[in-house]
Amino acid sequence: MAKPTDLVQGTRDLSILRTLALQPMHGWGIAQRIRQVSNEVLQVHQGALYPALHRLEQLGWIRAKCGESENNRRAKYYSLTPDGAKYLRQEQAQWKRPSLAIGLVLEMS
Amino acid sequence: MRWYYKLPLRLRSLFRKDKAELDLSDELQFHLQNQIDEFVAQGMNPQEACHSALRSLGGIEQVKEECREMRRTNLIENFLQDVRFGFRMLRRSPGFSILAILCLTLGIGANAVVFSWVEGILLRPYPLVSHQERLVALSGTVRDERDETSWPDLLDLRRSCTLCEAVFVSNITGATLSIGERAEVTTGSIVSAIYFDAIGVHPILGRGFEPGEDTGRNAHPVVVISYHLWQTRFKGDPEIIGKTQRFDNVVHTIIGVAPEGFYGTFVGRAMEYWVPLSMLEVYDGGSGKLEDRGARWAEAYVRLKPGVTRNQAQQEISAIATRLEAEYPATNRGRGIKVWPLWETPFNHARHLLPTFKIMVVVVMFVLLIVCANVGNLLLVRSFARRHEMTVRLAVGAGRGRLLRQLATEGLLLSSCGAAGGILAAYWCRHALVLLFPGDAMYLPGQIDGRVLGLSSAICLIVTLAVGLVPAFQTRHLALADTLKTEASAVMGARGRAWFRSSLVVLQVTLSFILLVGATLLMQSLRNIRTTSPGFSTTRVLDTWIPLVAAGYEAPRAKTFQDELIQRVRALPGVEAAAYARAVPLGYGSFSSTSIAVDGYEPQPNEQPTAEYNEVSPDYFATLGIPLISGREFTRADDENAPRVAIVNQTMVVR
Repeated sequence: MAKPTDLVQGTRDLSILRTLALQPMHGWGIAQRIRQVSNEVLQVHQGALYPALHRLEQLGWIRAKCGESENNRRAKYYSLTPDGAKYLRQEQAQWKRPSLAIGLVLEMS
Repeated sequence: MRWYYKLPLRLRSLFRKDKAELDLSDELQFHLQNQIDEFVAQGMNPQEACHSALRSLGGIEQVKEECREMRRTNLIENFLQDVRFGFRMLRRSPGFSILAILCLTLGIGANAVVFSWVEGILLRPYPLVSHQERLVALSGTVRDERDETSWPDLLDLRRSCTLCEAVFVSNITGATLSIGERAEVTTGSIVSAIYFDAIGVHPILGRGFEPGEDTGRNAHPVVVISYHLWQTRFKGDPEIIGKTQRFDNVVHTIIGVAPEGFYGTFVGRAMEYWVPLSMLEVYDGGSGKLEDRGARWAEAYVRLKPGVTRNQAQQEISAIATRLEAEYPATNRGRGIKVWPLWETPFNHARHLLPTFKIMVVVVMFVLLIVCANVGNLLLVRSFARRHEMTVRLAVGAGRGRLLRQLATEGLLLSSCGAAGGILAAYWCRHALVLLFPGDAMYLPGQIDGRVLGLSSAICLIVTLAVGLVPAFQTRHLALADTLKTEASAVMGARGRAWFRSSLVVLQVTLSFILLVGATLLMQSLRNIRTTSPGFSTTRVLDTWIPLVAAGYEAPRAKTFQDELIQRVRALPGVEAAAYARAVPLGYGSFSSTSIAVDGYEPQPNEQPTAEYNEVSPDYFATLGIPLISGREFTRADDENAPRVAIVNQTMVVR
């Protein structure tokens, strides 16, 4: 299996928000989920994940709450705020157009 | 972006720091635990799994620090931390701190003092006068030379100027004020009736002048007195309004008392009273000056309407002056009217002080630059001593930005202390400018207002940047491993960086040299002025001024008084000689001039030989130490009945 590619900042935030859109999740879970969803192709560098989460929290896009994890450990669960959801929708629309276009160009050649 | 998400977060990380730290720690611990579990499940032994998990996170402290960075309140928190730390550093080396703060106090204080003077004397010269930014001075011109204006011209200007809100006269004048046994010369203003309304100052007792009180010849002997005069000479008499008082031996009715802190509108003097223009004859001599368009004596101000610039006003006023030229060619040919910003007011001390202030501003800027170089150098030297500390900070995960902020905060602490000291010094020195004019009853108040404080703070910030970041420049090059390893043997920095220190020293020496040369030249010319002989003795000679007529003496009584006074003064031990003169050399009084006819000389048709003369008493030449080349001095015998005599100077004899 090839080593997964690190996500760059803009896409990292988006991936985090997208993951949280499905359900509230703790940091570890977010990292796992991104890897699984991208078929082990993408990963969030662990050192960068937590600063990113704290930044998104400061921006008011996600909210943190304490909870119990699956294996009964105390964990910090993050969830998407309405503002975060709005931002995600905007960015998704922004993101689709160039990626669609690049897809078309690449298939042509 | 909603504040109700953010505010609790910020407050939490600011005030419940321990809780936030604990949460962060827990969160990362939870992550590590999961990672270790995963690695163990993949078949690693627990210890190996622990190391791998830490490695993949990339240093737990670094991640924590980054997370803290993300909480924006870090800024405030770090700042407070830096301030505390900075104070500790200052306390640890008190010698350095005191030296640096004194230097900065000198630099910032000198600037604040000069700014307060410029503000109080040139930019906002008239306390209590409203909207001084719309006030301009006004003078006449004759063929581009400055002259005064005449009252009829001003009246025409007031009528036709659409951009002017008010045009008013405020001439300085003096009068002898006799209260009881004492007579005293006081300085006052002779003003238009609209004066107090135009400047927005309202008497605290009684009233200002009424419209029409500036017309008629000597028709309105009324006076508004200053708060100071009211308190000192009238002992704050609450029933003062309506009482009468002699000014220059003319009875005036006191109609108002100006508010405390109002000193009139003349840069350099504090006014004690104000009288309306109708009293011009009493104060200025000459008759009919108010009606005569050719009599130019008025010193005027204009209040512009809001939003009108000086240039716009000048254009309109010039057009009016041109029209007056056409209408009254006999008196107004070649004459214009010019407006001046207050700091260039041609008829008070503003004009004399402006060049001095320009020099002062340059000098204090130089001083500030030298101070910056000096303190920068001190900090730089100290930063070498702190290289190890900086290196360790970098090594344990501080960002360079964070180090920079810390250094800037330390600089800010120093310059804030300096600025506080400087402003305090400026407050003490705000009235100190008069000390440069000893013997002259000058009134030159500095003013410390928002603008002066703002400017001083701006200087403080610039100094902080200039000074605090010098050592930051140094840390920019810190190579972690090298410095840590070679710290023991490290001396004053690599050769490559020494140029920076050298250039600071060069800058400092250069600036000091320039200042030194300037100061020496100034002292030199001052000494030349002192040692140049003006032709009379300048040491051991005192002069005074006694306006007897204004105090109510008629000619014969004045003469008796003079004779008696001079006898008594001569009798004083230590007095060699005493004399009277109408005007003293280099004094304020001007010499009179008269036309002369010399025997055997036929003047050209359009030539009118005149000579300036002075009226002096016996012993005048002996008193002033002026040598007589031939002949004799006046004596007591040269009175009204003796043949008329005169003494002429060498220039006149040669001609």
